[in-house]
Amino acid sequence: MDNRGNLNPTYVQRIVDAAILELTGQATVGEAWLSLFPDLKPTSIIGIKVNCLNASRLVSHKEMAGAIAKGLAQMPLGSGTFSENNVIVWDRSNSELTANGGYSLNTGTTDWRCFGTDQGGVGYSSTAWDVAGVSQNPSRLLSEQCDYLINLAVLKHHSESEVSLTLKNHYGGIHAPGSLHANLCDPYIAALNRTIRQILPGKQVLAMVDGLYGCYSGGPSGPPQFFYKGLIMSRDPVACDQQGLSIINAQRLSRNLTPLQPPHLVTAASYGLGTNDPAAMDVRTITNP
Amino acid sequence: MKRVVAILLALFVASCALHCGRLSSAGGGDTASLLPVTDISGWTPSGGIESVSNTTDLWKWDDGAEQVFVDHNFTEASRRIFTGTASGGSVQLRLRAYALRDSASAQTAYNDTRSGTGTPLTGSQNPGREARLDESALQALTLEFWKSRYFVRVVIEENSLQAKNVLFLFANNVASKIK
Repeated sequence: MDNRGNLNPTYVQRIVDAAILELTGQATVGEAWLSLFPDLKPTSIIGIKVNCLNASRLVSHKEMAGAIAKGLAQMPLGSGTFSENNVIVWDRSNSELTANGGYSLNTGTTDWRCFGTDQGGVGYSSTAWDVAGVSQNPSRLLSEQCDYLINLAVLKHHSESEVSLTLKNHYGGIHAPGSLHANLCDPYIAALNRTIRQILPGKQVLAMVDGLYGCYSGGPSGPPQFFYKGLIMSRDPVACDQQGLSIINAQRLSRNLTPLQPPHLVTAASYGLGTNDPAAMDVRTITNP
Repeated sequence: MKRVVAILLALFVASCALHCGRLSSAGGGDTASLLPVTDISGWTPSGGIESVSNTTDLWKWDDGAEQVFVDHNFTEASRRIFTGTASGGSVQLRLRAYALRDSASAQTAYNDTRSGTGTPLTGSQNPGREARLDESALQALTLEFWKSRYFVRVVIEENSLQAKNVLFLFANNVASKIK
């Protein structure tokens, strides 16, 4: 990582590969990713929902999204492997993907694709969801165009919800997230995730937090404040976010800042979306893979 | 047991004449007029000034994180990005100005956006009624102040003495237009 935040894709690939191997217990990267998609077909579309809201490079890095796509392209399928072009990296807008995230838009037929919900032919579904009494139209990328979803969030503080991790990342996949920010975004974050799980069961297969660096205050738009140089990966989004919260709170405590206690994690656990109990988690930490 | 994998990687660290339209605090909330419209010592605007005057549009800026200004009687806001050089390569500076209903609202918004990592600015360093400088970021500096019924935030993507000087240059420029 240089002083402009540029990353070496080789090293990012290494940590992503090591994480998926450890998580799944499989022998190869391709088999490891494939184990998440038991019904995968050659025509299946896998979406990677990134978060490029922050204009200070505190985003889901294109190197990490690319490393995931490269791993997915190793999944054995029939006599070949899964097509990398069947991976779509997406967020709410093309402009944030490019200007904030440094992504190159790709709607072509080679390499992994990348575009926002505002891309022509995408948009928001005409079918509205009830999210704790608030009507929300999901991105068609989420509701219709992707068969599976990998949620790649950012390790950051949020001024309203206290943290913005994988559960909050879904706010970038609905048409009017601003209306879900009252009361520390609670119960809205948990309600949105519950709605997604109820309406689109099995779609989200993995929760990941890009923790190459993070912020412990001033989020979500504030600049990065610390290097974590890692990632968090889990099939349980609540557990994933609880681990992210622990990292952020460790940074806060070291600076005599009050630890964060986002209520949406408690609500999400109460909805049965996962566990926020550290004692119920099998945490594997890999250093220098 | 829920399995969570956290990886710490020792990544190799390669090297780990300004617009002077004056505003009355009793006048319309024209925050766009507070922002420089031409270069400041080599700082070039990247695109135009973006202004919003309703909650829905304000929410779009930060995906709803601007709620604190809505809660404190936001009336309108403007933002602009500048590109220039501080101590080395090209860096960005982002400037935002929010108009609240009155000075009490501006002060409350300033207090409620406190992250705990900023240092209060006093004396000649203070461009407003109250101001703070946040140097906690890895590669950025943030200066926030309130004056009259306005809240202003300036962020520069570099953490250096030269960058700090640029930050104050912009902050003072905006503050000078608020009466």
